[in-house]
Amino acid sequence: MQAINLSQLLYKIDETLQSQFGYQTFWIKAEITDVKKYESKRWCFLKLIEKKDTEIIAEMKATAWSQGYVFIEQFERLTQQPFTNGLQIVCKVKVKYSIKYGLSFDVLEIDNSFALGQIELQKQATLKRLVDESSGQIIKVEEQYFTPNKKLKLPVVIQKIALITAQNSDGQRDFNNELLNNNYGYAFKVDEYLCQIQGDNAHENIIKQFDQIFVSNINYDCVAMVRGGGSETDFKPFEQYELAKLVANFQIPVFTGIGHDRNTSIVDLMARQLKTPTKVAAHIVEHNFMFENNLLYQLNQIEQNAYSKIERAKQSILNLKRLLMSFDPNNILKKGYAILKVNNVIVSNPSLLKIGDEIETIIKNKTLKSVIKNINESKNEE
Amino acid sequence: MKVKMKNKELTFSEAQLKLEEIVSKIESNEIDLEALSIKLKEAKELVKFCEEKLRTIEENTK
Repeated sequence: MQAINLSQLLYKIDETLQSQFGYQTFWIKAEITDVKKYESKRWCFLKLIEKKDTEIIAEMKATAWSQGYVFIEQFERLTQQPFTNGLQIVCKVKVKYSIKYGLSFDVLEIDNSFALGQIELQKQATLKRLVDESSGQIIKVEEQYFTPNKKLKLPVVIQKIALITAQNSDGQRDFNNELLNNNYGYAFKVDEYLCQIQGDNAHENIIKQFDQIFVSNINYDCVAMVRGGGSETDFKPFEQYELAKLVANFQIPVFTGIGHDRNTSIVDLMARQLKTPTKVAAHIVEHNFMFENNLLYQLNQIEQNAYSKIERAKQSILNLKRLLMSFDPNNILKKGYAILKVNNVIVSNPSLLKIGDEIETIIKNKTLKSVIKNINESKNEE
Repeated sequence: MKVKMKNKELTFSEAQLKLEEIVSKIESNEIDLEALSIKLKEAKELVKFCEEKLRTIEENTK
């Protein structure tokens, strides 16, 4: 028996594969697993698998070198999700064989429109499930979702806040800076519920924080869930059914500021979405400012109304005083008029006067006594 | 000055309601001149109370 070296056999395999596949490329659909990214080198090692039910029926090692890595970066940018285990992708591969490392595929391209479609399908399915399983509590009207949480009325002033965020994150810092250094000097009590909010199990951590808020029995005015900094792609926790359902039904109004500028996550749709941590804080400050502004407006209304009532009362007293003054006989005398008396009685009926009557004429500062010598009828008879 | 109602400190909503009540009474001429200055003073106190409360957090707010 003549034995050949391992490498000799493997070179034969290599030749066979080369003659069979050469530089051919294939578009294949597969699930990815064992994903290991080397961002600095822009390489990604992974496995492509196919499942029947839960059983893996096909498996192949694969590598995305810098040519393929471009599509991974594009995937993360477009989907705002990490390129990670469990995703279904469509990719262009080339068969590669090395006598040292064995058989694998080089990933040359990824069809990101397929990935986006898959994610959108998944999102729509989750939203439909939220509506269908809510017993009419979550309603979709056009593109808006009405949830019990969104229907909760905000208190007129927000002061006690439960903040769900990651420790030492930009989101935590931005939110607190904006809120606690507000221009109006409003005071807030912020209790922080810190947890990891990205990564595979992040939604479970966030749910635990909501549970903590619930059991605290503290009468919070709102919950602010914020994230900022960290990965620009990992919004997957906010697409999870369980977290979305909890937020939709949570009995304290929830604001989201999860740094999601392009898309809206499912959790955003179930709560009051404000995009960024800073915007959530600014909205809360503005909410209180609106309250104070309204109070000042009402006080102004009251003052205006009261002052105009007092002014009107003063004016009407002044008018009465003027009227009374105009009836004062002394004022009449000052104008050059005279009062005529006979037997100390004011003459109001001149037809009773006769020649020889002694009359008393009162004018300004003087009283004159005289006797009527003659009476002429006046033409200006009233 | 603390504004109290039946020995209980007012909430923001209650203060706002009381203020709205005063506005509506003044506008509908339900308040005579003698009572006007009292109501005006009350309104000012309510606003001052809210403004202070907005800027203070009491401990043990449960």
